[in-house]
Amino acid sequence: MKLIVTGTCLLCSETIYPAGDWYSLLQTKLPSLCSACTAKLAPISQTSCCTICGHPDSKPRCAACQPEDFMQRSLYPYNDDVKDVLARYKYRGDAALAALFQLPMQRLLRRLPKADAVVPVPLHADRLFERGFNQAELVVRRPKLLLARRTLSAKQSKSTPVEREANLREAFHVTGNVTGMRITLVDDIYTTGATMRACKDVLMQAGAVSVCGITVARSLRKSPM
Amino acid sequence: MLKKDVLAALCGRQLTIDELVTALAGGEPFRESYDMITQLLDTLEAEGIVTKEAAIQKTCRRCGETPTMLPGTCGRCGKTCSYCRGCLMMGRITACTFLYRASPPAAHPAACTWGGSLSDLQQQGADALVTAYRKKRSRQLLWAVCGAGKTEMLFPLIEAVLADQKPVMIATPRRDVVQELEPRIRAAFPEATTAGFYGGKEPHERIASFNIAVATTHQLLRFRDAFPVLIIDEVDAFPFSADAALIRAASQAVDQNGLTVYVTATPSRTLQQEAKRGKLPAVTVGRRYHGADLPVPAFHWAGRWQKRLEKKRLPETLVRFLRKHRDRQVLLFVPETADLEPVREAVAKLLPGIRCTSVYSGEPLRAERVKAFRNKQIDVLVTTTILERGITIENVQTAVLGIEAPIFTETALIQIAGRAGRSPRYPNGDVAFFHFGKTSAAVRAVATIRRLNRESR
Ligand SMILES: [Zn+2]
Ligand SMILES: [Zn+2]
Ligand SMILES: [Zn+2]
Ligand SMILES: [Zn+2]
Repeated sequence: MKLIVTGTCLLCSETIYPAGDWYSLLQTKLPSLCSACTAKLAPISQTSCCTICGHPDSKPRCAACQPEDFMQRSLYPYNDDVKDVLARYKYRGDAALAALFQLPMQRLLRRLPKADAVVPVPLHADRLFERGFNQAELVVRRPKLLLARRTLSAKQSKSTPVEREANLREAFHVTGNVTGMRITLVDDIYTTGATMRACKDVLMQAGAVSVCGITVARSLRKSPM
Repeated sequence: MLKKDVLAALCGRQLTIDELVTALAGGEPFRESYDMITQLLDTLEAEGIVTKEAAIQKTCRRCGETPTMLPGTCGRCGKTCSYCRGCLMMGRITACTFLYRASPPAAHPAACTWGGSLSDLQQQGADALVTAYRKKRSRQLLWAVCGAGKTEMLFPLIEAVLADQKPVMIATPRRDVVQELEPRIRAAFPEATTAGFYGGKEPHERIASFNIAVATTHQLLRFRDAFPVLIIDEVDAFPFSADAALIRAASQAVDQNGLTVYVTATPSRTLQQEAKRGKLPAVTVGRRYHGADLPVPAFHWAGRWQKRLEKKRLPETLVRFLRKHRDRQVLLFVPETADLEPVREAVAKLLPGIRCTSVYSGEPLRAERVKAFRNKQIDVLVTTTILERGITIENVQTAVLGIEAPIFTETALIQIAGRAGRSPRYPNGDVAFFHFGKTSAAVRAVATIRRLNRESR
């Protein structure tokens, strides 16, 4: 008989042993990460981040953030370790890693106004085919696929920022009834927020009453403010 | 054009459609190239030139791992699907994809133009390998001590296989060995197409054509029934990972009736026993090409060296060793990364004027520091076992502090001792084991070295 249940770390394949206390020994389910990998994925403190954009250590609000700006929260800072994990998830296609984010993303969801639907930022059909899955869709439970993406956004380098935002809005369209709904968008990485803002505009036009967002990771400002 | 490229890529390989698309698309949108290449592959399959197999059946057909369920529905097939995490680093395989294969490439006979000559012992080793090939053996061990000149011993075998218009593969667990080996092979066989394969190469480089392939053992997963001869160099380099995946990859890459040659200076217990019982044909080259004995390590008492180190002091015996060799370069091995800095500080303090630095696997300046040591700008290089093999420096003396640490296995210690006395100008290097209690691994290492010296006389 096997007395101690051991597991395998989802990231490094290291064997995981339960902690020595009785409570841990009685658990039948072990964490999916070893302690070293857990330490690498250090979440953003949700009590001290910017209440608008979720930037860490910016409570109550970054200098550049306005109360009416797009509101979102991120799980992790987009540092080198998180970058590696997300690259393996998204580009290598290690879809099983989505399990790492589901529970914490669910908790993050509760920190924002209640949502009637959790909507992943969509991938273009060709991109979905190439990658094999939508990385934003798998990190939450019961996603509602209420958005679709038309064309791969063309090379944008020459257009002005305003034109780029307009192009991006063109790319998304609503595929269901969102009238009167409070919506939380989901994406993997938050950088400038342009994608999520474009999705918000489209959803608001279609009748949604409020739109905010959650992301797995967000990039950090170069210099502390 | 595309047809030719696809066929060239598949020669002797097993590739997924994704690998073909990324290697051959050249900037085209994925979906369009995918459709085009799929259509082409279907035609080639109908013509009997290409075969395909579902990439995941009960297990992954590439690496043998059990597949993982894909959460949600698959973006490719639109159904419930699974994928393999075992060989994810080689590009993702899903249950709805195929592995495509085609027969191995024909090679051109190419002469070896290496200008040197083999010693009598090297010649014996080389002949044994050619005999194993001619007699159609399935396995052969070449036990060649550090500094025996093993690469040159492979040349006659490579030449014989190329003469039969067949390709050869030399695989080794370590990428730096591939990078060192590839140019030497290319120089020895200028008329043959030599290609190196290891992680981090560009997609189009992964499908380069080859008569002689030099690759990391991982890359063997991309080859299928391709080689009548597969040479695995430094088969023991990862002592604890004689993993099933490697064995599987090797047996898939080699022809069904092909020969696998294991080349090593430190064969594992298992290989040695198989050789002893006659299950594995073996040839031993127990002497260096310059003819001198392998340096025999000497034991020196180091006492509680870790305690001394806390006070920035070194064992007296080690200080004496470093003083004795103050005009020569010394490689000083320590058990752990944490020991590097204290030892370096102590050396700097006790022997002013000695230029000393350290390296370990995670050291960002590793390459630069090793280069500085090669250029004789460093006198003492303190290192973890990462430099136990592959580094050849004329007239270097080697020392191991704390041989009682479990990381210093018999294999590691023989490799370390093998760093000394490599060049014919300075064939007698000093090898010193500083210990707080001899281990059986260390005693066995010394006994093995003595035996090889005795038996090759
Ligand atoms: Zn881990
Ligand atoms: Zn903010
Ligand atoms: Zn696999
Ligand atoms: Zn599928």
